[in-house]
Amino acid sequence: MMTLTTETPRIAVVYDRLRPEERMLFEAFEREKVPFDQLYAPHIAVDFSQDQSFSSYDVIIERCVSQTRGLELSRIFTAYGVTCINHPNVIETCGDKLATNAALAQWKVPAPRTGVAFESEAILSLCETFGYPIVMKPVVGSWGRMVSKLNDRDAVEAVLEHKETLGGPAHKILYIQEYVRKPGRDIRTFVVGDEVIAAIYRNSEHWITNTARGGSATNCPLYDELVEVTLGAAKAVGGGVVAVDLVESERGLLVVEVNHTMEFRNSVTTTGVDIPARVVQYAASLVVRT
Amino acid sequence: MANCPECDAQVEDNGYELGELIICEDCGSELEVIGTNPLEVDLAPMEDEDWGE
Repeated sequence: MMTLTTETPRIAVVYDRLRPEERMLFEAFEREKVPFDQLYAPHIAVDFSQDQSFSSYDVIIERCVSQTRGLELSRIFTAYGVTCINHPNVIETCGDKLATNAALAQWKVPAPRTGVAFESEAILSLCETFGYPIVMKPVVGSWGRMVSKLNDRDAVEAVLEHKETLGGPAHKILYIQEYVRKPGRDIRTFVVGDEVIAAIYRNSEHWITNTARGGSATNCPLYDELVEVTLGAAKAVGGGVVAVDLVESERGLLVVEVNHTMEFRNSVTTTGVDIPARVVQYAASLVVRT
Repeated sequence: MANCPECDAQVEDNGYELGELIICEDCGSELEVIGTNPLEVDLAPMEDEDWGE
């Protein structure tokens, strides 16, 4: 890790909601004695014809709970020459499940069988070829929101009707995945730069194992296949600081999604790895001026 | 000092940070700190479709 020799912050954290993760990051900056600034996203206003004060930063860590806002801010910061964690291309890819799948397929990273269509009849035909149950997800969204396990054609038709009523272009993208019979858990790995720093099992009796939905976390020791598949997924989306969700299947590990603004509140004590400190150290390593 | 936008009760300035979520002690509404000097609060928005990690 490089040592910063100035008290002038070269790193900032942009955020909109002060979650436990943001507090943990701020505390890690203090512990690591790395100067930093907090940028409250709702107060940011950008006039592209003017110089911007944030261009004095070398690195900005993007931590917005709103993916849309986070992506746009990352684009702006990057345009002004700031290294953003994560790069807007990474956010764009991770923030859209279909884009993630496209990247994973391009890099030949194993993933559950995934399909997409844009009309009801087309997705119903695709469901028949997949076989039931299938999982239908919105392409944008987190925390297991609106993720549906559909056991037959009737259930698919019901959800399609709901999506038509909800409206909006995002709900016209009909995205399905095979239902992977996992052993009551999935795996989340944490990547910082080129390294897998930790992993947890997310255990739940419910088929959705997300800890935001009540799943419990236990430590998952790293092993070769886990590291290899994780790094493949991270590379496919463009690298940076990401969390990769994987399921254990008869075909080996499959990557379900990659998260670009990872939550780790349940994972530091569980793994014994100071995840926020590792993020701070990584950000400090990207500072170009001392 | 600010006022709860839901019940108008006074909200003490306890050194909150921008973006922090607090609960109105009178009506229990979830409030978001949107200004600190002076303290400003608004009703915390409901979870949106693009929220997440």
